[in-house]
Amino acid sequence: MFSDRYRALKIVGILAVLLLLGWYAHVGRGVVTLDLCLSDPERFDGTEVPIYMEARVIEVDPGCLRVSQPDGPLNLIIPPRFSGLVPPGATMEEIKPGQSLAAVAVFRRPGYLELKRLRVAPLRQVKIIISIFPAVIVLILLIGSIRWEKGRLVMKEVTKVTKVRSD
Amino acid sequence: MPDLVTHVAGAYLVKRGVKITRYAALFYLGAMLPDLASRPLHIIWPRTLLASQAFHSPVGVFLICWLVSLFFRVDQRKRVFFLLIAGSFLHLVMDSGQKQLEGGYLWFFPFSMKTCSLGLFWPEDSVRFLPYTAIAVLIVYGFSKWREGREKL
Repeated sequence: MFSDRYRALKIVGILAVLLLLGWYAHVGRGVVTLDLCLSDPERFDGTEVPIYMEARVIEVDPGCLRVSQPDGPLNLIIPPRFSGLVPPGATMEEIKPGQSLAAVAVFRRPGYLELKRLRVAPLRQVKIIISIFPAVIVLILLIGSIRWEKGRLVMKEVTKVTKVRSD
Repeated sequence: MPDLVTHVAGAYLVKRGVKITRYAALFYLGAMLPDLASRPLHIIWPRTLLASQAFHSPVGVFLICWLVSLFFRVDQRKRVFFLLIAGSFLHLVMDSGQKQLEGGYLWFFPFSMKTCSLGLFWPEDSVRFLPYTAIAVLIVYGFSKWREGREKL
């Protein structure tokens, strides 16, 4: 597993398997999208459609939430007496344009999405920004402790030097 | 996922507990690896969200750690691999506690697409808890320095 035997083949093989896994995760989960529902509204009526974290609030109206997401802007109809806001106790008034959100909507004939559950994450951008710092620090630590030797990376051995008092 | 500061803080506390002294930077890298391999992809290209989850699964992480270790000198590969994988699994264990509105992490991917999580905290809660995380790290750091000082006497 760790020997130099067939090393290049192992590297290419692992990369190929990782690519395959990525492709399988993309196609194999069978996630329902709005486009899929619109292709057969009769069949998908009442089906849950997930809207993931890379979506952002564009506008909040009393009966409609407009969000941007990778496939383009989306209107989510807010049903009367909507109670799917997470965490419990949160109010629609707290939702502001630009905030990240995750939601689950229900597809309704002939072709609209009704909001079922909604979670807004105003701290998501902060989390991403502060996550850059430890990544940079660990990268600097690694650069300081690794050297390049005969086509291989080598971890430098750190030896602790203890001072001995002579008096 | 908790933020990477919390993941590295968790790795520091574990490192102190199990006394990892050599190549600790690799253990910290492992503690960030699942996110480093998956998050930038779907933050930059949101359409890759589902694909990138493969690199945040135990099988994906195992392969990435093996791949990285193959770039090291042959006598260091095992140690590099085990430090990376130990850090990565600590990361996955920390992530397993979080709540998801829909779905979760693919623990058994590619054998099963079932997602699961313990549902203890929301992904952004770790940001609110950062001051307490910092206090915990400072206490452990101070205590270990104090003990080192006593051992030298």
